[in-house]
Amino acid sequence: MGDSTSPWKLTEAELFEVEQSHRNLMESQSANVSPIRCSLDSENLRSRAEFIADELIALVGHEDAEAYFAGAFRTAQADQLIRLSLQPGTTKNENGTTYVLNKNHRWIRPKTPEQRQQTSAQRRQPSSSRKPPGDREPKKQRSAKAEPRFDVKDYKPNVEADSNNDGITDAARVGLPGDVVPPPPKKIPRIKGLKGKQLKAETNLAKRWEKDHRKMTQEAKQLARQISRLKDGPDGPVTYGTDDLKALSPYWSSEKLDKDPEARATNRSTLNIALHQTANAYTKAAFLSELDDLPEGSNVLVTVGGCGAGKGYALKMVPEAQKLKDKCSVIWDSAGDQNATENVWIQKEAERRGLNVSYLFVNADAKTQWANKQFGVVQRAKDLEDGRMVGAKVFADSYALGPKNHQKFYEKNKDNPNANFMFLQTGKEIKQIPGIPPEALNVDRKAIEQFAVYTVEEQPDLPARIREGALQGQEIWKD
Amino acid sequence: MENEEKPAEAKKSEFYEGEIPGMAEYIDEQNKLMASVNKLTAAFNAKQDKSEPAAD
Repeated sequence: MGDSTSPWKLTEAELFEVEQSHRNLMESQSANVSPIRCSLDSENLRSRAEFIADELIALVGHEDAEAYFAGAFRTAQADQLIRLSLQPGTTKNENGTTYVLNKNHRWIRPKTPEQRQQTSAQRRQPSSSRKPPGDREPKKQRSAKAEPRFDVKDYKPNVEADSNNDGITDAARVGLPGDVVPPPPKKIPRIKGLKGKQLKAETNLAKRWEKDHRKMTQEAKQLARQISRLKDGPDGPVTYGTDDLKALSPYWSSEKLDKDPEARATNRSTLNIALHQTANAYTKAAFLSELDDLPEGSNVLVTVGGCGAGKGYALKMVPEAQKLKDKCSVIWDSAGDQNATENVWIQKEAERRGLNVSYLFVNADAKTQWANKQFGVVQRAKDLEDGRMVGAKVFADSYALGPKNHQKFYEKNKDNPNANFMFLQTGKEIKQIPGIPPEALNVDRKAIEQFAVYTVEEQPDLPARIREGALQGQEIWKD
Repeated sequence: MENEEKPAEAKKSEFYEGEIPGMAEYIDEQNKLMASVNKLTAAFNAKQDKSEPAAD
């Protein structure tokens, strides 16, 4: 066994030579070597390649990215050819480190005799002689970034907690804490208390993300771009909204459900909470990826307001708001469910990339937006094309905590040259207002929740799916 | 006691029960748009990994 030449130090001409000289060898050995196995299907691989290419283009531009990609591909190909032509056990030196070719024809760093001895001793140690959990040495402290601040198996944040005393609550009942874009954590925080189909839908989407979060982020980005093109045309901004991108779940959108709008509406009314966690995770990641693509100085629009506050309608009806939309490249359509906890994170990420952010806060009366027979959320959930129903507790939080959080954020950033603020009032009259009205900063979330529950319970003819969606949070959260 | 208080608090119809001019047209427009979005997302999901378990 001897040292082999390091293939990634060859010139391009030499690489061609390597390819040529090993082609016949590979063919003649193909029956005797183990192929490199890949458990991923072709679509998955394609998506990964696209993701890498996308990142590379964003980093160095199209021409350089193409050159890097072609070079790396050729080098990898040559390396593979060389490896296939060598026998397992062959060694090579690279930067002072010795690598050995394993039986799968991959270069690995061999274990030292001490490491081998330790592993083998651990294997031999009977379970009875192992130390009980309490006596074991503490695990090495992970970095602050890697340490989740919450229990991923039982995600139940205190919606009024403000751990850094910045006046903005840390997390809402659903979704992720405002500044968290996983991984970390590696697992999607699960809402404890979900049962049956809710649990199945939550698990289905969360496991897909946990299996390959990059792929889901890429899919979310692609879907957000396609939906935005449909809604705002090819030159319009790309909108990222957690609710829109729940469509990546087959429980939210599929060809089968498209033929059965009643079943689709039932899912959207009853699985809105279950799908929110994962959808929020990949929507945030895809939004950041979109920000990476923007040239410095670009404008981002963030729409904020309670659940069903009528952000879309207000944007359309107020010319000043429409102008904000027209000049932005990307929109973060924040779910009311998040109680405006994401603003600090967005501003930080935007400033890191030299971007400007405009915040459009839409103020509305909670009771009207819940119960109005024309445009309230209960009424809108009856539309089979939409069907989404928000839970009473989540709804109430969004009108009680959201305005307070946004007000604090506004006070801290009103003089920030990279942040602009606009406030609109919806309901009976739609107009621009100078700021959040004082009464909106003193909303009692318990009273709103009570009103929401009562108005649902007093309507015997309300579809069962809407009632279930409105009230399912009452069993999950007891506060 | 608590149950008796709930309806009393909630019964206060302090919200706007009327309609907003232009809202009906907006909702109609949104529903049509949602129908197109639903078709798009359904087709998008159909193109993704077929090995994913189908939902109910």
